[in-house]
Amino acid sequence: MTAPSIQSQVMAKVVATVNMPGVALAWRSRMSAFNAGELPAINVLPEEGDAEYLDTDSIDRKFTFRVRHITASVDECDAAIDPVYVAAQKLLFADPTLGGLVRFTRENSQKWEFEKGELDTVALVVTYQAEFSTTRSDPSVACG
Amino acid sequence: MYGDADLPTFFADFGVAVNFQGVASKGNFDRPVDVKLSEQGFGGAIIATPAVRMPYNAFRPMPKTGDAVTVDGMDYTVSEPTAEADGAVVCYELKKVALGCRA
Repeated sequence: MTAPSIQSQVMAKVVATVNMPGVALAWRSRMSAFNAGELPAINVLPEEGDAEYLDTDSIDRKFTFRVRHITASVDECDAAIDPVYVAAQKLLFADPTLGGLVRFTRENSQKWEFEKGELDTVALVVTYQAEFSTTRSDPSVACG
Repeated sequence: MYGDADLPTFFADFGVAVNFQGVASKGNFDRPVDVKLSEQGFGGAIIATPAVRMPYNAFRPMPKTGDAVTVDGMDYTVSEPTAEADGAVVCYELKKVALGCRA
């Protein structure tokens, strides 16, 4: 059994970090839909990875992932999701190295998605980028 | 030839009780449930979009956006009233008044 890649470890670490029982449970790349009783919820999804070659041995990587904060409310759903976003980001940036997995993590962008219905529903999608290096031959081995 | 007086006929069999400002009438209630806000087709939220269709003259005045109505025993506010076809039937999109699951 091979060790998981650093980016996969980043995903696992982010999900564990922003999981807030009693506030919002976090999921990793959840495919099934959330029912009203599960909201607010957080879904962490990988987006893309960039590779740069600065020496002969390693790959400098920029791994982008999205944290989708989802909730429903009677009204002002953007305000309803805000405390979940704030709490999750405070947890995430309490240690931007994600336990030493990466050099740092930064927030790149935010996007809101809305849907009206019996309850107003919102997804606040925050995109983050983590930078780290791995050996060229093994993406599970960090270096530099 | 149908007229205004015939409109209640279309709601008599399948209509549910609708109460607005203490006046009772009947309307056809639907509550479709769909998955929205999905990411590339997954991980979305299950969202219900209830609506009740009624004769345009079931109440006077008719409910408008933000008004409270009771439909089949459930309290809602009117989200968006829209007239359908010739305007004889009005569709009222409904919103919950509080969080919680429908019984």
